[in-house]
Amino acid sequence: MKILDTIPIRPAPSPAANAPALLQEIAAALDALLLSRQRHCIDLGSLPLSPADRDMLREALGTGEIHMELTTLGNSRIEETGVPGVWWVRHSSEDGILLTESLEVCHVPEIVPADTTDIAIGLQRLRQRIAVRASGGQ
Amino acid sequence: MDETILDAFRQNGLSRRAFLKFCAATTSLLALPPAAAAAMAEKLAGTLRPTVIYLSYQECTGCLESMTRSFSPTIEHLMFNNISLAFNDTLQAAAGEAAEAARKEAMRKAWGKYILIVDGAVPMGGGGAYCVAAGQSAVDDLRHAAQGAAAIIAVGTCAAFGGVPYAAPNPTGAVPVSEIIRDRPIINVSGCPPIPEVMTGVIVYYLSFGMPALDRQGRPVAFYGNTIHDRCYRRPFYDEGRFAHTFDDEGARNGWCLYELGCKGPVTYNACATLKWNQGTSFPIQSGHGCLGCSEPDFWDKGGFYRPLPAATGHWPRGEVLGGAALGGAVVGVGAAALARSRQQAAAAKSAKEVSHPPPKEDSHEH
Amino acid sequence: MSTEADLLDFARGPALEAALVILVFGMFWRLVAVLALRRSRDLSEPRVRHAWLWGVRTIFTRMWPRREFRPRILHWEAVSYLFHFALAVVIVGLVPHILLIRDITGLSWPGLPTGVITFAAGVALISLLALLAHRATHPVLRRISNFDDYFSWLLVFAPLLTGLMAYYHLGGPYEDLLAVHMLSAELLLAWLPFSKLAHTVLFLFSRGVTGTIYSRRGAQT
Ligand code: SF4
Ligand code: SF4
Repeated sequence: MKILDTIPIRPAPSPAANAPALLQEIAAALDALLLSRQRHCIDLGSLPLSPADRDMLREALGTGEIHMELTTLGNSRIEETGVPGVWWVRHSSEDGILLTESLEVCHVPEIVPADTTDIAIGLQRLRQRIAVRASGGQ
Repeated sequence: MDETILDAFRQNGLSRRAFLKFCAATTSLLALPPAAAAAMAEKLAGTLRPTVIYLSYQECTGCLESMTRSFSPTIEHLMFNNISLAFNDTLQAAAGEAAEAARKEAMRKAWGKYILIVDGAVPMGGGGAYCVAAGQSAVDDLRHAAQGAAAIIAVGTCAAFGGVPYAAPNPTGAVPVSEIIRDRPIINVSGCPPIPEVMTGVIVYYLSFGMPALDRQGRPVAFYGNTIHDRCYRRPFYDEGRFAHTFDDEGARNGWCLYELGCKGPVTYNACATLKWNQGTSFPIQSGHGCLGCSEPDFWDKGGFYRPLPAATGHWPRGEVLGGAALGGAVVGVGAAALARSRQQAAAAKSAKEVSHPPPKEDSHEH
Repeated sequence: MSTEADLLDFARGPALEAALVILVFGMFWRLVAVLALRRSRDLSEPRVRHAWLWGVRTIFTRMWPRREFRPRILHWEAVSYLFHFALAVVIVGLVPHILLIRDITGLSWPGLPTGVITFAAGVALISLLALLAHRATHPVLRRISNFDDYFSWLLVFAPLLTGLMAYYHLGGPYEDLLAVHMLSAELLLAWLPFSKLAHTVLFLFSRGVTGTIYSRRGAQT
């Protein structure tokens, strides 16, 4: 371990290079959302973001009122930032590996509302359970 | 099985949310704009579950090993539960007659529509006798299966370019898939093995958007558009001229560029430097070993994995050949000089006849 | 199976081998043929002892024009120096070149950062262009220039240009540009011994011999 520690790791040069442009993009997207209800999504994985970039984004966007945890095919965190309408979405796999991270500009991310077919399937299941109960089963 | 892919998700007790998450992860993986996730979701929700026939010929099963280690069970899930993998002799439980029957049935039902994945080269030598299964040679088998395929994905460098079996002296007369099948769209997913996410990503892309853009080697540009070198995190060291000279010197310890140790990154198109391996843990260069160029044609026959890229590929005896050339040149030179001397002599004799006391003549050649 | 990969393999394999064989063969031919020529004996009394030492000296003194000529030619001489120096930096400074030389001869030395190399290559290219313009416009130089001069110019220019293009990925995939670069350099190597480019080796001997002869007679060289 000692020897491993002596291997110098060169951190990439990390000025906040992309965050300012991203913030501009978010502002423009919010404009579009207000004017024409248009959703927008920015894939953070496709941009080289330095730690300084991330800090700047976090700081400028702040923390909002809603934190959601989605548990399907692994965990996902969906958090509204301090800027209403801007959502920070992180999808991870079953073994905790980050699959994709994005900023969504919308009223509610599309993945949140229950889907009609899923509701129908759920309803079916519920009816079955009610029927089972009514017939005296557990 | 008139089920769509979304239905298949539901069949497995998964919601549309899981499906959307899967689409988001895949678009991100494919480096598509995020808006494509919605398009993909819409498309896949209406796409019938495809039949996938996976045939293996002259190969080592490394590609399948790699594929079953996709970065997340999410994608694997899609592959093995939601896409109907109708035939793969390594993964399926059935064997022998039963397996062959199942495969024939699957092919008959989806004739003209299934996706054919081929891994391994196809030996042509000895009438195809080097690779025979169930009484049929690989080449006949492939020709037949290709006829009913909507598209063929040649997985691994062996299927795409011939790979190891194709390497000199190629005793079995192995050829890549593209050499046998010319009338079907073929997507080459090369690598030895290919990155698992690339294999699954290509399948999902094909299902959502059809044929991906291919480079001139038939590989999807989304994954094979850049060289390893162009995306290598050691690139600054290359540019600064800092190189590891051996695998245990100071440069190697400092993580400097591996060019001198034979790295083929500058001429190798693959996604290792960005997607990495084993759930994004690392990739060969990050672990201190140069790129072998495994996703390029003939990577076995390029002079040696540890010979630097600019070095000669041939293994000819340098000293002998060049020494011989020098000797030959010297002999010709002596001959030329002798010829010139005899002409000089003739000329001198001639002028001696004309003038009784010839003035001393010098000859300087070039100044 | 793929042509472009084959092109690079051809450049690194048979083409390289052939170019080297021709280079060595041709260079020895030219050198031996010149050195083995008969030189008639100079019967005059030598004005200096060890005239050959003066010959060696001439190799160096002729590296810079004599005062009398300077106003007329110094600037073009300087451009020519700039070119030769920049070219040398590119050839012996770039690590891939060193690795190729090491592979063939076993000799190696530390390389320079690629930034320095690309700068030197740029300087070499521009000075080459200037020298070509000079050759084409100067009334005397133009008259004494022949195919050899222009073709040799082209063969020096081409590897520099293709090398830079390969480095910056301009005009095609890297492996193709690299192959073209290597092939152009190999053409240069094969052409070198049989052209005026042979001065890379022969200049030593021609200057030395001239210097020796003149100084023996007491002339300043
Ligand atoms: S390690 Fe290989 S790929 Fe990385 S910079 Fe060096 S030569 Fe290029
Ligand atoms: S780094 Fe090169 S040799 Fe290694 S897996 Fe990637 S493409 Fe293949």
